[in-house]
Amino acid sequence: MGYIVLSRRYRPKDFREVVGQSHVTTTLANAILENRISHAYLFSGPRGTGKTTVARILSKCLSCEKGVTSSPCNVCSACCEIDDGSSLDVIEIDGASHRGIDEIRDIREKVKYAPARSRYKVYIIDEVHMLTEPAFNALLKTLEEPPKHVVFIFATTQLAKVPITIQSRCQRFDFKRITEGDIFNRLESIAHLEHVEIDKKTLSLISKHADGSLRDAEVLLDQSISFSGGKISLEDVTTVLGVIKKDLLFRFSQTLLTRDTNQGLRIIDELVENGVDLIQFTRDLIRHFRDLLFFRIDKRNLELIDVDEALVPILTKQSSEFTSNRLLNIVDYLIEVNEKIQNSPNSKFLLEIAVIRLNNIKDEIPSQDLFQRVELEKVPAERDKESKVEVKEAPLYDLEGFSKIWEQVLERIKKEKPSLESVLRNAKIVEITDNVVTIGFNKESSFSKQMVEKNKDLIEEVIRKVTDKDFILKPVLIHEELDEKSSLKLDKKDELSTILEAEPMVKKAMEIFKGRIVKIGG
Amino acid sequence: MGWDDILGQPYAVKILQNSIRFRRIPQAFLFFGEKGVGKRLTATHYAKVINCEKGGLDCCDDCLSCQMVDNNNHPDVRSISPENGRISISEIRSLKKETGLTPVYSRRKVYIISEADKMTEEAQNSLLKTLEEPPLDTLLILTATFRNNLFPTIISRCQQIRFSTLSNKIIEEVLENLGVRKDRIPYLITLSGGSLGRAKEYLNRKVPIEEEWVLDLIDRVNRYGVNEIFKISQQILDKKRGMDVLDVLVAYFHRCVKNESDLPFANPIYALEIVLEAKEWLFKNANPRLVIEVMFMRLLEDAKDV
Repeated sequence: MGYIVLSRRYRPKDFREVVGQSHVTTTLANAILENRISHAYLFSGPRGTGKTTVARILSKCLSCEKGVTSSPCNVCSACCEIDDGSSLDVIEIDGASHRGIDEIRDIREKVKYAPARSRYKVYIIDEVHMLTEPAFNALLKTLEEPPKHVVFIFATTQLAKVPITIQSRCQRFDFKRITEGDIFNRLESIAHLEHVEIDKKTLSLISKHADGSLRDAEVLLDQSISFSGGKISLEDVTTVLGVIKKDLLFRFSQTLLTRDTNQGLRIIDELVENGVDLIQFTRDLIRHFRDLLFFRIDKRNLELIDVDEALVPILTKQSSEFTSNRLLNIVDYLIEVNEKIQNSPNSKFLLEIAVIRLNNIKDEIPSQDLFQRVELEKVPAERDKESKVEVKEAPLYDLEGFSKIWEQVLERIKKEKPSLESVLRNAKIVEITDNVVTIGFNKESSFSKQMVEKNKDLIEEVIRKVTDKDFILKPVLIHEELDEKSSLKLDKKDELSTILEAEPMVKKAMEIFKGRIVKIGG
Repeated sequence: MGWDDILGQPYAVKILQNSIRFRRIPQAFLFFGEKGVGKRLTATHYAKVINCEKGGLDCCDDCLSCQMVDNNNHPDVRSISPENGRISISEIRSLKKETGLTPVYSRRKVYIISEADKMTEEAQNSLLKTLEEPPLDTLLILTATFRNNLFPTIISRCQQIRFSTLSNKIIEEVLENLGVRKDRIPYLITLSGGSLGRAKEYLNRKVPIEEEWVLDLIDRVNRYGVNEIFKISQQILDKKRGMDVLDVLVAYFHRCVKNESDLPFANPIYALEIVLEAKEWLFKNANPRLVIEVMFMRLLEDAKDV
């Protein structure tokens, strides 16, 4: 017979074996002891946390020949049948492939019949989130008031996809991610049962990598065993996991430190030659620079950093040579790269670009420089104040006086940019104060306004040359008519409306709707 | 063929061989890695070895089972690949129906799902239960380019085996053995990006993908400006053609970046980024002609700016 994978062979057989879900198992065990069995359960939680397993144990508890119990005997025929999936009364359905309304109708039909042998008829619907909407709805009535001998158990990784109406009819249990410690202990006992030699460090690497899922951990252990036989070394597991070695990461960060682009590119070439997963590498790099940053901020953060003691000196050295700013920028940029690289067919190129960019960005602004810059920024503000005082003393331009100057300005602009001049000619000076020239455009020429805004600097410069003073140009849109032309238009409109009002059709319409002419289109 | 014929995948080969040696053949594998590095080949080879009548560590190439695998008509070795770019739930359903039956001829049934990352959401979900507890005489091998397109629940049920990109040396050797002209090899290597499949694909293309052609292209765009772009883009009617052009440009700029040789563009990194971005768009099924046009315009703008 074929080999049975670890996760299947060591599937827990009763509640005590279930790892890290005591809030679920204790509650269920107590419910059974107190004979308070609900007719519907909904198990939700991430992958590999024991939903299907607990569902099976629960159905054994209910069907065991020794009576309803919180610790099934696992030897009677009922228990064995459930274990190998041949029980007549525990029906395990794959919700993802039997997702239609017809399948649910079928269940509804059969629910009525009494169980063949056991006390209960248990329906386990795994991956229940994949049922179609009509299927869920067809289930509602049955789920609310099923016959006494029926228990439904639903399991899903995506609770949000299960309608609230279903959720509210079930007792819900949320399975938690399993802690590294729990995974570690479980793996240790499995390794012992499998007669496999493996040290603690290696086990903890696997547990960490499993990311809260026991099945992932067991699959990894399985894979490591097939990779290296009876004795598993840390080296083997790093290969299986494709973990990037720390010293490589330090070598890489060294190239960024010295801004040695060529060396950085060579490391990437090397990675590719060695068949390293570049996506993984990027992820590890982010982590690595985050570590450097943490350590740079405070040496006490060492406990937050996962690094060998042997590497602490180089960590100390590099983190002190980088500035926090640089590290922050690197992490930021790498996160961006990481997002791009996930689904890109060009992972190598992207990473190479990243290396070049990271070495070229002039991102370091020492705080001293920053202060200086702030000082510099202050100065013009003060200068402004002074100039205001000056302006008050100087003769004010009135609109008429300014129009002469404006003419000169336009002449000069004409030489530099004729198109701008013609645009400005259509504008009208609306207001002039100490240092602000407001020019107006009528509504239709917002494009002209944009053009002026674009060339604001140029115009202001010319005004300065002509007047010897700083003016700020403020283009605005005016809603009132600018000149006779537009007022003429308005007259025309009025005329039109009087004509229209005389029209019998319009007259009638206005009577019926008690309206008046507001706008004439066209 | 034997394990030795699988090039550049020492890690994958070792783990697969050992799983046979230690009699720990799991129920599901996930082979992931770039296109054209040998995932499918390895999967088929594995199926052949574990069903070989001699039962050794490598196949005998002689028995009926091995021959049937070679001829692609082994009743117990089935493969599924995307149709119209995806694998639908009905295909997975029919696979599941078959898993219930015992093998016809050999010890073990092997299902190879190529490009499993092209499975639809429904298809992936409906595979979950089978993947977790298939009959003991069944092995499922999934291959995928983008592992992240698979559900974590799928990935968690498989032994994941990483396939690496191939080193330049391996590609060079293979191309040499195929009798490719010496001077074309370095160019093909850059184009391949570590994928032998891609290198071979370029080898078989009739389209002009020589460097001179690219240089000419860039030169024309630089000299005649926008109008030339539209002329070029007229020739690019489908995605494949567009990808060709982009790949060539990527390879070209990539070389520029590395050699810092005399460049028509002031900033090859930026140019490379533009082309890569265009490639990504095309990859996501944007209109090929538009992608190419926009890309050239951006390149042109870049050249002017600096």
